[in-house]
Amino acid sequence: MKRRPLADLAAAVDDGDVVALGGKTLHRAPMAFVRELARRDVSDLTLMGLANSMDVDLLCGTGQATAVHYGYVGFEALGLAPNFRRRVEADEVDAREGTCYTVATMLRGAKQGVPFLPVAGLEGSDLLDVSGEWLTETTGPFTGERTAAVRTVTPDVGVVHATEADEEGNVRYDGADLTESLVAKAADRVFVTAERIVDTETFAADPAATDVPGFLVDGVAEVPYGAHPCSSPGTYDYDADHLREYLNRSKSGAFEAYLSAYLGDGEADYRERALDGRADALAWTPEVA
Amino acid sequence: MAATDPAPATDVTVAEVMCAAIARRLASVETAFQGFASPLPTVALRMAHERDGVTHLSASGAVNGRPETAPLSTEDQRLLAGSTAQFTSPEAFDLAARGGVDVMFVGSPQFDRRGRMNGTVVGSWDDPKVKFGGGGGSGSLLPLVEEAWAWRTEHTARSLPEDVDFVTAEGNLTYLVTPLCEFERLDGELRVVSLHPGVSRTTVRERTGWDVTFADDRRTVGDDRRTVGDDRRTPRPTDEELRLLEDVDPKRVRRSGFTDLEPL
Repeated sequence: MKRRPLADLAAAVDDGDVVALGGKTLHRAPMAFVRELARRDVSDLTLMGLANSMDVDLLCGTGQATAVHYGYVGFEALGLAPNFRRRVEADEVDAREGTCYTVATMLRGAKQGVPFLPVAGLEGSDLLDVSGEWLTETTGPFTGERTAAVRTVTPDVGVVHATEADEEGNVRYDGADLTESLVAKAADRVFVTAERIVDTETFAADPAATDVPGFLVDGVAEVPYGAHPCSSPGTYDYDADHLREYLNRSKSGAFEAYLSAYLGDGEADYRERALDGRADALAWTPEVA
Repeated sequence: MAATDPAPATDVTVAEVMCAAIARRLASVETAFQGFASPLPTVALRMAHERDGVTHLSASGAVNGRPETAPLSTEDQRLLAGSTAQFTSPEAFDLAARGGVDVMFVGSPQFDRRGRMNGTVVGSWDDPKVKFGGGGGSGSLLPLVEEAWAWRTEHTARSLPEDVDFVTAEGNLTYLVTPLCEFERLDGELRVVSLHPGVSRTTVRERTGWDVTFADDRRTVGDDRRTVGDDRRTPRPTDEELRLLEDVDPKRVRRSGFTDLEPL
């Protein structure tokens, strides 16, 4: 039985932890877990993700993230990530920029238990100069040919949002794997938020549909709208109005006001404040809203 | 009696010109990949898949997805509708690493004369004036893909400088389309190969950060029906192309990111 309240899962994140976040850009970001971290005083976090948006941006805004391994942090068509940008420009967040591929390779190194992995590409990129602690050029031991290499970073904690989970931590999500499988297989401890908890029989009936096996998972919480204002594919769309409000407030110095308006004491507060009368409009449909 | 063919009601803007231009270039391509934040190339790829059977790999994980409407976020899982398989973006990166991606689309705040891209920083890395979000997969992939095709929704001297402040990625960038023109990289330099309808050389010169050369100037006058000053024009989309555009992109996400789109 791995089911716990969300607050208990977030309490297991310690100061200085490396936290890898599942999802990609505006989709399946573990926002409820991120909000729960923001409600706590945990600090000095290093975040990791291939391509993230509000999850990374919010923890940069609160000052809790002090370093980020990333290929991209931004809101796609909605714009740049304002708090990430502000903190990096002020040298308050250590930007460990790589590419989506090198971050994936960092996680693959952790998943495979090796200290580094060779990776193709990067020729001519200045990223090799500025991210030398994590990216380098080297030669292969057998043929001496040039290759880039990525240093393994093993996340202390991996966080994944899912459509369904059971009490044993088995996980299934609608849509394709975005980054979740890598995150769950690379991290020392894995925490899951799920839109709903279902019976284990649901997983036993179709094991091929299980995206993350429960034995890899350390704790699971049922959190409806746990990805809001990002999407949880198959359940609800991303909330463009809310995201724009967040971006506008963050850009105009009102990030703290955004937090006081929405964060509350827990996710029940958040849902009441952020989703009042809006849930139907966000419901997933085949057509893009 | 055959129903009257409705006249295409679509206003043609430069977004449609750009989409159709990309789709035509894709006709002979086997496999192309589109990442996040790429609505315009994704619509072009949807066209090219429907019309020419081009294999469309999407960072969303979709393979040849056929969503009812093209999404604004190009990681949107609706792209999986009608997809025949799932193929995640790290798998697509692996495919590129072993030479299996013919064309990859890249967008970035800046591209320079030599086709290098900057998605990282304006100013210096240590003392940034503007920190951008990062180049996504491009730093790894530009040297790996057969060709990288770039697009921008604005064409200014700031976004197309002589030299970028930071090289996030360089490599096989061979094509750039902007709201003014098409560039191809020839002899290591992005040169204008086609002007969009109504665009003059003067406008392109004024709004590009380097001393632009026009590919047509390299032709021998008389060897071709074009002469100096008689540049190739990017064709307006045909009625058939406009119908296909509306079919794959009824919400017109292809027009996002542009300012001052006008009917052409």
